[in-house]
Amino acid sequence: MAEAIAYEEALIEVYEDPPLRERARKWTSTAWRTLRTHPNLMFGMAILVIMSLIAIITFTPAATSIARYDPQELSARERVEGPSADHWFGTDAFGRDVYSRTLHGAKVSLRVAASVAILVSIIGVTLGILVGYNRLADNIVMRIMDGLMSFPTLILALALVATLGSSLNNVVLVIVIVDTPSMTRVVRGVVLSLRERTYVEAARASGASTIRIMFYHIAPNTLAPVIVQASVFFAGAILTEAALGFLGVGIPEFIPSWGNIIASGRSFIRIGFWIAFFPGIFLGLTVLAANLVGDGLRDVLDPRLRGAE
Amino acid sequence: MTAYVIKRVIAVIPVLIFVGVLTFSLVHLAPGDAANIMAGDYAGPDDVKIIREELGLNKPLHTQFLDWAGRTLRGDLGKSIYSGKTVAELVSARMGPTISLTVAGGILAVLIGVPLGVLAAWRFGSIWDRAIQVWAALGISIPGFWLGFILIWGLAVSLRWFPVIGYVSPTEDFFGWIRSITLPTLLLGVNGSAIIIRMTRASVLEVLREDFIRTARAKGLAERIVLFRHALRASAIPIITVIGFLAAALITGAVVTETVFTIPGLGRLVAETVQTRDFPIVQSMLMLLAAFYVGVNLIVDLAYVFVDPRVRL
Repeated sequence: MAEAIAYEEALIEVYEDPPLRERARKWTSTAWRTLRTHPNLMFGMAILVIMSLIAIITFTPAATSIARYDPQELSARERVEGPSADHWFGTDAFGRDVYSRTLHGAKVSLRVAASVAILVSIIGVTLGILVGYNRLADNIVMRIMDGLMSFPTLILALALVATLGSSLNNVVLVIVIVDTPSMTRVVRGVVLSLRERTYVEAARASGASTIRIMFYHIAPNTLAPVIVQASVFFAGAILTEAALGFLGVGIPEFIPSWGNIIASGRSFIRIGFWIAFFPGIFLGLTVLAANLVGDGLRDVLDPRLRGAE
Repeated sequence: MTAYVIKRVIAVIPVLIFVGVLTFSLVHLAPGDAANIMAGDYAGPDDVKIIREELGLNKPLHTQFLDWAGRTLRGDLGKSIYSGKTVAELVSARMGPTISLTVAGGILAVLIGVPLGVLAAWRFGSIWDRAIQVWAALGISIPGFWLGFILIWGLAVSLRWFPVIGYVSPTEDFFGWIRSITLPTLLLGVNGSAIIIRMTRASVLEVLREDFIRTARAKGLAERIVLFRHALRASAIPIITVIGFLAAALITGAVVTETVFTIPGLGRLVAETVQTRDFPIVQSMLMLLAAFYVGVNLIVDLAYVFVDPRVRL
């Protein structure tokens, strides 16, 4: 009898959820192990964390502690001056400090990228689940998505920004419009395969409503591909925003985004290469980091796709 | 096979109709009055009225759409509200540079991308694989306009090997033409090759793990034959798919590259007309480029039939 009770207690110990602190510790150690075995992921994450910190600090009054100057401060005497102890990345055509503008540019570019990644994920998951579950919605929504995907993205983005007007919100809106179709397609594919799984059948058999199955049982399982895809869109949004800025239709010129700073340096290639050079390094590094994180997460979250596109 | 081809061609029609509707709606998506936007900040009410009448914006929406669709189907794509030139005139005048660039850039991208992708997969995990992957990662991460800027600064401004900007027609001066398109081609090729490398590496890698490759090796075939005759052919489908992506990358790349190098091509036309909000031209270019892109993807889909017998079934 005593033996049976001891056995039961042992069972309870095994099956009971470990305390929160224990779970957090386990999660942290798994995350750390994953990062250690995926150096590219670690490198990408580190760069993104640094860029995010720069972006956050430049949002606060503490901005001058890292950015040194006001990004809009003009100085007629210091126009197009090369890198020096006073101006690490030189100055632009209006005597503004390129280093300070580059750091403030992180704020704009990352804000666009993060907004796009989050909005596209929310809209894509909602639409993807909807069309994966409803044939009528599938026919209507997916035809619209196919139509949107038949435009080269930058061309569509250019035309839409030209129509809607240049502003930070419109740039985000436009990139969300051009990216949503791919996300919807990815989620739809996952939903179509998930809805045939036994656990969904079990949920249905136990009387769960379709809405509950869609958002409680299926949505969480689309998370892995959505996170991977979102990191790709994060990188893409930075590039698209910069390309729109470079082509003169993106975020208004006076706001220092990386694309705008590079565009402003274009005319000074002979006398001031630094104006476009340094922001380009920040931009490329951030996009590279986001892509490395995307690739790394794909490896970690879905080892079957290792090395695949 | 014929049924597949017909089905695929018919599937393009609704897509093109959607493209048309969206392109038409563009002017009407503008907040406020499109005529006002096009007229600019300094225009008087008369200017706005002229533009509105010129574009037929004073007519009911459905009449405008039918008029526009009818004209487009007849090949009349409208004319610039600034220069008065027709789209056909503008496109034919600017096609040469874009064709030179995209064809040369596309060929360079394939010539760099496919061999490097195969090499990376064949030497999986080696230093070669890592180096090629770094190249590909940089290729998709570095913005084209910035790389173009660096190329101009390094090779044209500092070393003076190439002209800084501009385009020379091959009929005018052949060597001048080569010099003028070298840097833009390099830019398009490097960016394009990154996509091809990733796709080729992934698909060859997958095929190399298949049983038939092991059999081919086991029966003593030379590695070269295993790689090129067996593996590459079996990975052709995903690689052909990437050519569809490459088409999009080249169209997009042309807009950026032609702006960086100030080349008077179709991409530059798009960038200029978007900046000046010359909507008739923006609409037509959007329509033409989307139709071209849809066409390339159709050809890619039909190409599967010839490469992969399974599609025919």
